[in-house]
Amino acid sequence: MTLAIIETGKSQIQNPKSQRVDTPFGMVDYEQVAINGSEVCWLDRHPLKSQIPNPKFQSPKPKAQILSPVDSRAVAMAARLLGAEQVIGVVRDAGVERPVVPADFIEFSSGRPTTFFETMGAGYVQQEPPFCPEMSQALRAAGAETGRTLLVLDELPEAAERAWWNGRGVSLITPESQPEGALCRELELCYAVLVVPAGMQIAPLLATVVAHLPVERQCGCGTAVGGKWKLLLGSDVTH
Amino acid sequence: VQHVQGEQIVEGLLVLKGVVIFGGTAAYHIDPADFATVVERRVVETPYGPSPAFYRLEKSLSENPKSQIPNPKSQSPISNLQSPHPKSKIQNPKSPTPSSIWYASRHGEGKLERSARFVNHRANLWAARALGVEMVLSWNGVGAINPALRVGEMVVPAAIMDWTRHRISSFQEEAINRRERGERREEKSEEGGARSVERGIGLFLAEGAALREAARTIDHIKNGRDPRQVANPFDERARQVIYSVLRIPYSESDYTQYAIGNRQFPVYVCTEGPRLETAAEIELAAELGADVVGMTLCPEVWLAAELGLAYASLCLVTNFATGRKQIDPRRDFGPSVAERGMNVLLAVAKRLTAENAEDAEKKREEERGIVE
Repeated sequence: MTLAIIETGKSQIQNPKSQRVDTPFGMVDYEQVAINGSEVCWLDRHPLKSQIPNPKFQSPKPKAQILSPVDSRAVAMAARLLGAEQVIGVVRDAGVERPVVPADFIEFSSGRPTTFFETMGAGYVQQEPPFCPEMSQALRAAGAETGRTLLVLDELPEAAERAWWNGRGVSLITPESQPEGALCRELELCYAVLVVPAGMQIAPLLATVVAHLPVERQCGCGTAVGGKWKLLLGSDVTH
Repeated sequence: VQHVQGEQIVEGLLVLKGVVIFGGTAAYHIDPADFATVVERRVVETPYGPSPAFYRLEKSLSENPKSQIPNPKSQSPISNLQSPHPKSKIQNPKSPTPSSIWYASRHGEGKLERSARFVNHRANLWAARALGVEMVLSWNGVGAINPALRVGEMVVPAAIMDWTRHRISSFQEEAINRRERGERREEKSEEGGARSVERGIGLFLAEGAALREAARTIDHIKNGRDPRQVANPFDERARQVIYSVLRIPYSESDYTQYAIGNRQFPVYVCTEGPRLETAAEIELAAELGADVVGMTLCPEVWLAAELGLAYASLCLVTNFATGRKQIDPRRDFGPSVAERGMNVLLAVAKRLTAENAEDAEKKREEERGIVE
């Protein structure tokens, strides 16, 4: 089972061999690396605009809704196309000194596509638990703290807004990781967030995480939409 | 019969030219012909695309409707109304009958065709207005936040929190473009620190208010309710009639059993979706006073207000919200939700419309009785 890491900007893995995967929502840069003997796809969160749609997708054409700075559908779909079933979204610059696994999240982002599904009711994915429990467990086993709530806004908030949230016990604030997580669940991928200090090398931590990841998924993430995500892909896609 | 329109409905007497019932959760499981005689089926071409099928329902229900009602689809072909130019004033088409009750399903027919996020609210409301209705009644499946509620209960929301982020909540072009261009942040920096706190959490309410303020300048909206007064989009008189149909004695104290603490009116929070909310989001909504959560009512209520349509919603509790399922773990999204919604709202619609002048006069007498 392949692990995918989603991170903003260039990967910190040495000797990178950058590749690209095409999705209907944009091209995604990634690197294939080996961590602790496991294959890991290290994806860049921000997709490049794809000029030519991939004809093998049968998904409804992307709606011309609101101009989006980040279309998280691209990176979630890329993880799925690369064969990953477990995804860790890495969040930096959230003001932590040690790695943290959030216990829950609140999302108030806007202008980002939030679903692959317009029909079938498949987009009504449960958020209980909000993150994959097995992935979160593996991250905790690698030494990450837990218990806090992650707030996702469009941008980092101003002082007064931050104070309002801090007064409600919400101090982990980031513009990243949602709706990426919900989109991963729509594709029946396991997803968990790892909040790390800016500039921290996370490869050693991930080596421990990989050792603790389950070989067979026992969580509910693999049945979140009853397999309906396969309808988004052409029949020649085997993953 | 002198008909009242728009804002006057609130103060005046409730005898309306037309009412539309929008079916929400589970509406795709039912056939309107099982509840009333379908006399007309119509798809309205709007500037925002074709509307869903609107069914005009006869008010007199037969004892055994299923046996007597022909298939509505074979009865009348789809007819289109002339669609007005998007920038022209809304034409008030001739209403074919003194009072008509229309029904349409938001999410499609037969199956769930559109999730709540993708309902074409502008086409729905435009069509309703073009059909000459004066009030929108809708039913919605909601998740309960208030622990005093139980699955299967109904509430009629009195206030709304708009937490949607992607939906077009105005007919007004400029406002829509502004929203699409994402100019929200600029406004924020002008407002300064204290205001930005409000925007931080009340940002969606504040933005809605700004949109509606801009929308006020548009010609076709001048005839509607003043959008500045749409802080509460729900029609109090319609709520009163719904409660009287539900045989809940109407007074503020009688339904505070549904409220959090000493809150007097049920509050609905509309989230973006389609993913369900997290436990932390529900906790926040509860802290801000929400009693039920759904994904459907916004921007329907704002659009209805812009067109001068009175609005009331019947919320049926289908489940408990995330993190509160231990209060009542049941889930009910089956046809019975739609059946209850349809039956209650049909009864309400019948109370609000009149078949002829005599009937209207009689109803006015009744209304006076209810009010006093």
